[in-house]
Amino acid sequence: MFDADAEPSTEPSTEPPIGTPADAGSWPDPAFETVLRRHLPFLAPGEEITPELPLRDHGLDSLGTVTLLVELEDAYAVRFRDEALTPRTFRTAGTLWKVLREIA
Amino acid sequence: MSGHGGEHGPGGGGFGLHGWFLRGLGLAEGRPAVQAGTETLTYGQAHQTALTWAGSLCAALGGRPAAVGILAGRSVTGYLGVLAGLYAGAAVVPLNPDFPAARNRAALAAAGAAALIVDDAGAAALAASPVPVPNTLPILNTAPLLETGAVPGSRLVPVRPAEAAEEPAKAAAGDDAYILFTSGSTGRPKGVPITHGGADAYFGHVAERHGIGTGDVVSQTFDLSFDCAIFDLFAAWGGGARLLAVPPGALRDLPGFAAEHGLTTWFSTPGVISLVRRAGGLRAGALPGLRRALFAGEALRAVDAAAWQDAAPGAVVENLYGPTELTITVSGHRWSPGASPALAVNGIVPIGRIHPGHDHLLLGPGGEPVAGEGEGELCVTGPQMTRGYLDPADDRGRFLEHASRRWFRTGDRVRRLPGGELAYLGRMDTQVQVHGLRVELGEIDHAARSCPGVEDAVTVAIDGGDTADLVLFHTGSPTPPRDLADALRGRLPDRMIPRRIHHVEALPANPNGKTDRRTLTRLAEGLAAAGPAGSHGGTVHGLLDRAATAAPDAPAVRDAAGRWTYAELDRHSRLVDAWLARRGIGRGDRVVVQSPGTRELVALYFGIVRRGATFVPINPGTKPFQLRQVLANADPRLVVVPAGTLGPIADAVAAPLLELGAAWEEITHAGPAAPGPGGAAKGAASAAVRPDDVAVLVYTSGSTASPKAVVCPHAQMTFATASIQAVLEYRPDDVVFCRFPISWDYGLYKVLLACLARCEIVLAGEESDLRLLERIRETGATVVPLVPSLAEMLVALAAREPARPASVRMFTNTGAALPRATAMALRAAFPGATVVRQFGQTECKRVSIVPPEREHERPGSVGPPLPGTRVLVLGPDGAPVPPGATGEIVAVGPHVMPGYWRLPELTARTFRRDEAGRARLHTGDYGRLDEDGHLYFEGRRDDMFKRKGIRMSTLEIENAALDVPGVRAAVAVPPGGDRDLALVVIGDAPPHLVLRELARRLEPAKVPARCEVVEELPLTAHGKYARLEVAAMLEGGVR
Repeated sequence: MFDADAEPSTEPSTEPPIGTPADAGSWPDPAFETVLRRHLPFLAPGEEITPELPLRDHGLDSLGTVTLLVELEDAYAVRFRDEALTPRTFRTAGTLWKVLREIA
Repeated sequence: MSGHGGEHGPGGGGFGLHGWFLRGLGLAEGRPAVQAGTETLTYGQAHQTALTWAGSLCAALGGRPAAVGILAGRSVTGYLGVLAGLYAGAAVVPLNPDFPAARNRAALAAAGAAALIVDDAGAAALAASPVPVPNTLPILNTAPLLETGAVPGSRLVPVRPAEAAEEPAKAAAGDDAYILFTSGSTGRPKGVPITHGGADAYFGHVAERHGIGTGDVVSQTFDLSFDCAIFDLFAAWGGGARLLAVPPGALRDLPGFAAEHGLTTWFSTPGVISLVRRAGGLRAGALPGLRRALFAGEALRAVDAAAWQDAAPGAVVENLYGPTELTITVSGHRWSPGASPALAVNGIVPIGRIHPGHDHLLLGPGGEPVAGEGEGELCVTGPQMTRGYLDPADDRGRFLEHASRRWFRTGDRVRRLPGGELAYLGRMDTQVQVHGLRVELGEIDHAARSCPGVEDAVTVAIDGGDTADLVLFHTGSPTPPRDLADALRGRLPDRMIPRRIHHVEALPANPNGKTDRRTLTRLAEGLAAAGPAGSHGGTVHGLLDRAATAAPDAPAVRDAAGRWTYAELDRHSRLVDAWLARRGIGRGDRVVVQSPGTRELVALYFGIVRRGATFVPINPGTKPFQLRQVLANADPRLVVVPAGTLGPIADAVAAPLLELGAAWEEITHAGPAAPGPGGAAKGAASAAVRPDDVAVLVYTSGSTASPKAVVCPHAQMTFATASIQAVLEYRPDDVVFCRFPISWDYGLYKVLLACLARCEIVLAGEESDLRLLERIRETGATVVPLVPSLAEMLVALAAREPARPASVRMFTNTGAALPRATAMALRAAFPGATVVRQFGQTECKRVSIVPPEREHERPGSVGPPLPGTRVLVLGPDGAPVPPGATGEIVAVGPHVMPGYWRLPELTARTFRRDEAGRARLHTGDYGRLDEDGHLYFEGRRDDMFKRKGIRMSTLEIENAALDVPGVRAAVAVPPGGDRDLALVVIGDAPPHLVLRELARRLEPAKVPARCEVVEELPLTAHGKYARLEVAAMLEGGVR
């Protein structure tokens, strides 16, 4: 189960998270999907965004991560906590959604 | 007191300095007064224009302005501006558009300027300045560029003939005619007022001595902000002669230019002589029409004066001398081929006799005047002496009270020769003490210049511990230092033989063309840090030795796990050295290391080079597929990699393969304690490391599939480091935040720069990008090297937290041009930080850097060449192209690497030799140099393509796109297949608008057929735009 770790790891784990966000009914949020899709140049237009979707593999690089962060913060009028600004948060669509839901 | 002419004379008319123009008007109203390019005005026209401008200004200001700034180059508008300012009764404040805007603004404020007259160059400088001219400073509408609204917030004063003044303003002797700014030792320019009375006395002397008349054509070579330009203008005008602007290109064929324009009078700095000589213009009799040749501004060499006399046998050649504070020039020596050479001191032509009406003395070390044939600091008093600096505080120490008179202290050391003429020895600060004995640096320069193969030479003094160390830089043939030292021993006493001798391609010059001794001194210090005296090059680990000795407890390197001081880093590097010795690794062996950016990696770096082996760093992101190829190419004796990489490459290399952690265990636990700095590593049988040994192999990407490594010897690496530091000036209290891998030369050299400056380097990896800004803040980073994509990340992160400033004082950018919008956003987010533009290639490390203090000049330029190096721009035939023309950028100097590892053909094609056997790096990049030798990058060969028959580069289209408001990033995709030229942008402007704006900036053929707006552009591992993938985006349809 994904939750906020005490220490952000310095190396991204190679395994996908176990399980899915607790409240399955709120997935997917159309606004979230729209913003996210814009930052995944390797994702085909018709391809579905699932919670397990690995973001880096679909074209999210470091600059993209920062602009994605800023866009989500603008779109949801929230601010990610510093502790949440880790590679883990941006590992999959699901991990990102989970963190966002906690503050939105 | 001086015999200036009769009823037309200025003294009689009460018009002061501009009375000398009126004298010319009386002699030659219908004849040309000024000419620049094809633009010419007669005395009558110039007079009328100046009256109109003066009248328009006074009408708009409601009275006489106290001072008027002239921000102009050497143009007709500039010359008329000076005259108009004087006609309006103001003091003229000439400013160089190429100087930093901040400096010019300070000058205008200090002088109390009420208005500005600009030409197009001045208007362009105003438009480029990030801080607008204060709205209160009106600008006379004299430049077409002003009409376009290019200078926002300016108040334009219209030129109205109806408001022309009846006659020029009168001037009292004590009124200021000019206010010039000279550099102060504190770095803040000092304002020097020149009165109408002082100028009047000067030009009276000039008229008598030189006899310039209506048949003369007088050169105008000095920038208007240089006091010698005043001579050009009013010496010409006083005689009714034609003032002719000399474009820099004219020096390439001065005989032709002189003949074409009937040039009779030449006035320039002596430095011009070698330029003309090099261009072949100084053959005997080449300048037959010249009647006078005057030189001032710096020391004139006897050989140069003789050469000029040979070229201009009909000319009177004179050496003029004088600081600004004594009104342009205050003494002169008339060259005599028979008599002058014997009078030369250290090969320098005497400065002659002080002008009539003045007195001088030589101040000895005890503060008393020196009598007879002695030496001392030249002090002068008389009508040409300034009344004092604008800021009276600057007067301190510059004036002498003696015998009830006030004298100006020139700061120059002068000797009185038999016969009474004066000879220049040097500045007060070009004499140093070596072991208690006085050494005149100029004497060493002179001796060096007389050695075979030496073109020019400058000696500086650096702190050598117990005394000053003499360091000689010379251009010309790369004579081995030992041979040059031997040659000098035949000419100089032992204590004057420089301890260090460096051959360089060029001596760095400051904006007014004089040798930049400050930069040379810093370069000397940097080179000294790398190696012991008597060597001609340093070693990379020499930098660490020096830092560990001088600042053992200063923080050296910090990573996520912690930090080491220089003593600790040094100790660990010696443990690595001892470990390598135990493993049988010796001189010339390659050691491949793939590691994230850690303290241990830095210790491995220094330890491997200390051993004399070659460090081969590999990017942590390199996958086994590519790593295997690198290993096959590098042929290492030892390989150290992360755990996950061991398996996939185990069969690819015969040498021992170690995991990082295991290697570090061996390094830190297996051996005896390493000795401290200065001792040899135990068991080290190999000879000391030589500067031309290879320190590092840097693998770079190329257009071919196989890996390619640049061979980087100690000598080139330490030279490049010292030269970069001479420009950037990292300080011991700096914290350098390095986000880039050490496997890339950017990161590789940041370690060395930090070491040279003895400051701390923080190693950050990609994983911390989201917290980049936070990390920068918490580490107290003061210097942040960037590429454009990193800059954008920073700007985006900073926008989330605008109220929290960071400590960054300098950003350096390389890799690709930083869009102006990004640079401005950076400066807004980090107030007070400078953004340094640079250009370079691993093959020579760096080609050019814009010095931080000149940040806002020449937007679009990537700066002057690295100090001590030269940049050429060559055409397809291999010959240099004229300034402004595009060609291949070629770098020459001690920073050029010897070649690629085991790739002889590619090496021979890229690193070619000139006729003298010197290495030239053909960068494959294209660009141009401007008249002052500043470089502009235009693109790579592969960025160039043809469309509709016209050659263009993706870069010029992208640069134009970045200039469109709302566009934040742009990639141009050349035509391919059946796809026409297209543009992909990130930004707020819709495609049709972008194309329309491009059509306004580019020739029609260069406007793309199609524009797509996207949210993101793919990047390469180094943060540059991945062009092939952008092209693919267009093929596949853009999301």
